[in-house]
Amino acid sequence: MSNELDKKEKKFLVKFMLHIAMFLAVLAISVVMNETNNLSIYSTGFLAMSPVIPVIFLLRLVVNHYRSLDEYIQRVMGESLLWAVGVVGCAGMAYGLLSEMVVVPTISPSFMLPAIAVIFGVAQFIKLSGNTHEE
Amino acid sequence: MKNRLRVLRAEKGWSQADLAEKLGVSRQAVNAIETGKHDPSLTLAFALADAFGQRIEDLFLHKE
Repeated sequence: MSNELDKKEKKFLVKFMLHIAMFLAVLAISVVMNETNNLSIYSTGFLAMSPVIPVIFLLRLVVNHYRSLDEYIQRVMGESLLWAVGVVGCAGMAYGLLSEMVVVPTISPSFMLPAIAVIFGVAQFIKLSGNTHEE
Repeated sequence: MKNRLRVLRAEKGWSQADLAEKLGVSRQAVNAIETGKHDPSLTLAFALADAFGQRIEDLFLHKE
């Protein structure tokens, strides 16, 4: 890969990590503030949802990065995203149907996006690992 | 789609990374095109043809 692409990747990774750090910071602040203060229901609600704000910025960063990639990587990312959404969607549906029949532990929907992100990463790794070696 | 990229690249003495840099794409993209895993867009096919100084139909074989 060219130096220009390498630089772009590194810049993206740094920004990505900064957004994750921002998310963790906002999450920590919201939890601490909600637990230490007796806030109104509106303030509590806003604080509870506030970690989503850096995630929205992260999503914008990823979409902008996607646009800058070449057509093959875009295709791999698109297929990986389909797999991720499909697997999490099917798993969620199966678990929901199961919970109608059997008593099962409740799983927070807030784990859906991280689950999609993890499966997306794994799918992308599998798809790209097939053509890492120069023949 | 079959293609002659690997042969032409070998003739020029270029690595996949060299070709990728000339085209402004990733090395994985070049590898995927060479192995027939990915059919390039018309824009990329023209860029490939330009890089090798050939016509598109001399690079790619349309027969399935």
